Amino acid sequence: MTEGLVVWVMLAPLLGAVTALLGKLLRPLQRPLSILGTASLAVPAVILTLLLGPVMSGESLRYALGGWPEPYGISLVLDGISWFSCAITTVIAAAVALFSLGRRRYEAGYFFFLLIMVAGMYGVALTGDLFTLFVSFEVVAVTVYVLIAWEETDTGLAASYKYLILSTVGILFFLFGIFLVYRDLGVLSISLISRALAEAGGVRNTRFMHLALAFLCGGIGVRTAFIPFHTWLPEAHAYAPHPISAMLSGAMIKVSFFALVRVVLEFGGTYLFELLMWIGAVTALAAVLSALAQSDVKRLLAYHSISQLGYVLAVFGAGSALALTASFSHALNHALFKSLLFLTVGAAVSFTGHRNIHRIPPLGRTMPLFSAAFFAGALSISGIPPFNGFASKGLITTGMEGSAAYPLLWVTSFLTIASFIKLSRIFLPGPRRAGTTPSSGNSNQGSVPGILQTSVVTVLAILCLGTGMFGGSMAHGLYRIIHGTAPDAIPRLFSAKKLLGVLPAVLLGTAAFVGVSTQWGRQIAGRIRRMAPELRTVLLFFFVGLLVFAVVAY
Amino acid sequence: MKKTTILDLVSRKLAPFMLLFGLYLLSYGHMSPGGGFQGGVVIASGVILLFVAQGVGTTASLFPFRTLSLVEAAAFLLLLAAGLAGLAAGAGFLGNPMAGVDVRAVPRVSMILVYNVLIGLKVGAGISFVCMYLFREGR
Repeated sequence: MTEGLVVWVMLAPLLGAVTALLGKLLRPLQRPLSILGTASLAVPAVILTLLLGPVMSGESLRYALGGWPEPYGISLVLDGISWFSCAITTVIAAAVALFSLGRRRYEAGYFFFLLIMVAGMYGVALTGDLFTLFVSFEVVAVTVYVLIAWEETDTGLAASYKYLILSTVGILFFLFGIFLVYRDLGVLSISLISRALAEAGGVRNTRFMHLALAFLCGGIGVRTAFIPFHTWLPEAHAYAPHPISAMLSGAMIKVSFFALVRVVLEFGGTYLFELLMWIGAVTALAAVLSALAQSDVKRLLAYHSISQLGYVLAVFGAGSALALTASFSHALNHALFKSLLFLTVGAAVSFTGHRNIHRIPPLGRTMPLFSAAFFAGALSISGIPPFNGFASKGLITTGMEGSAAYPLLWVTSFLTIASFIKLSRIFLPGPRRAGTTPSSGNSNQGSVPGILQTSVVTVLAILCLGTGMFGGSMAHGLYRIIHGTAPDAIPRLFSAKKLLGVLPAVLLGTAAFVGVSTQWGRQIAGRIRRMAPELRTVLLFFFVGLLVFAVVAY
Repeated sequence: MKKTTILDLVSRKLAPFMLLFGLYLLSYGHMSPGGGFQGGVVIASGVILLFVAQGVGTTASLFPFRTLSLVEAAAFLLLLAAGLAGLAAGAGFLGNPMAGVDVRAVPRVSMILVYNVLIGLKVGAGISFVCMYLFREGR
């Protein structure tokens, strides 16, 4: 019976998409049908809550589509990793869909694509075989192409096109990896591949499987956006409509990351951990440097998504059971605070019609609740207690104890603080006079966000605070979800040593902010901004990245 | 654009046969080469031939924009319904609801036929729709 529920996680958003599509055809019913489509996200939420018990006790639920068992048919697998992946998708998708409902300009067609994208993301999370994983990745990608260009701005269309080209190249890597696996092992189901590889004595004892693993990692890497596969992300996330940016940064790259975790673990690719850790740490540092140099608010946030994903990847590479928990917990926290940041900053952008940090007037008095929510997100990403960034960064510190890559992450943490000091000026309370309302005559200017949008960001901000305050028990629960057993010990999060450790980071962060604000700092920032690689350089990056994976896998 | 009589005549004579062949591929996909996707693409190629040779305006009176989009949406809905029928019959999502029925009364293969026809309609309508949109934009 419980197995039968698994398929409804994927079916519900599909049915919701159908209702939204009907809303597109029957114009007068557009609004109620969009709401009904969004409501379909409640079904996965309920099912996932019901299935939490079995998952926590380490069961993995399998559902064979059409009653065809594993080597022939498609099966859905719900275990700890996929439960967690689905849960993140559900939370962020619900927040984003409700936020979009608050703006009348998003019609039923938009909800159709959004819900199909969510169904695809559930597919990525739940699938038990590589080929369905490929199909689900493509379902997500096709809807994302449309959604990035939804507002039909020039930048949005260009970003969508760039993403189309690069993600297609990436998914071709993935497809080639699948081809190699199928050619040599004759199965596509991940659990059967895992068994076949174990019988053959590991990836390294086979002739081509290490190459297949490298291709699969490279292919998913393009979706997950770590260096050197990250180049599409800043544009795609910055120029998409604001709720879509939140969805992409909050959930989509996480879901691909979990697929990567599954592939690496099931292939027995533990010897890739060292590489992943270094890639993660370098990604975190390089992306935060680029972020600090940006003056476009949404591009700044987009670079931070890459940087925070670097943390997640680095600590995954540390390899211990606790490190995996730390990695997943940071993924969850990043999903919460980054979608919150994109929604609040996006609201500021559509309110004022400017994207440049220095041109947005301080909005603290115009949008007080949004400002408060923004600061909750900014404090979270900076790792200030008691917000959730502090909790998961504390876990990361423990997870990466004694690793040579940790100093890079430590530098990243204070540069993150610096760039959020820079960003927070747009939400500071401005001078108390008429000047706080944006200058009239600007046609792009929007209205103050409505009650639905305000409540969505408030709930997200409260979640950021809550997951921070109860970080210890969150980590405890997460450990049980992922590993199916209770942990021996979760380190104390709010110890005096860790609390004091925040202080130098804040001081260094402020110093770095002051450094960037000087003439010299601005020159360097401008130079970094202009370093955007061309398309063929990007493709070269892809191949270099692939080669590195192949060499290390060998 | 200059158009010759040959193109005009041939396209009008050929297109109905292409549509017919597409329908044939749909309906015999379960026992001979063909199937939903292939049949749908052949149907769409017939429609596209008409677009190219006769112009969008003329063809759109035969295959109106709204009808194509309705067919596509309805096919999507019916596909999901067909999948759910399997769930209702206890065979699981996308399972064959005929599995428990006496073979002499209703052939079990009929479910494949249903899927093929629905997929064919969806693919045919979808591809024609995309091309029609592109041609219309180009003008």
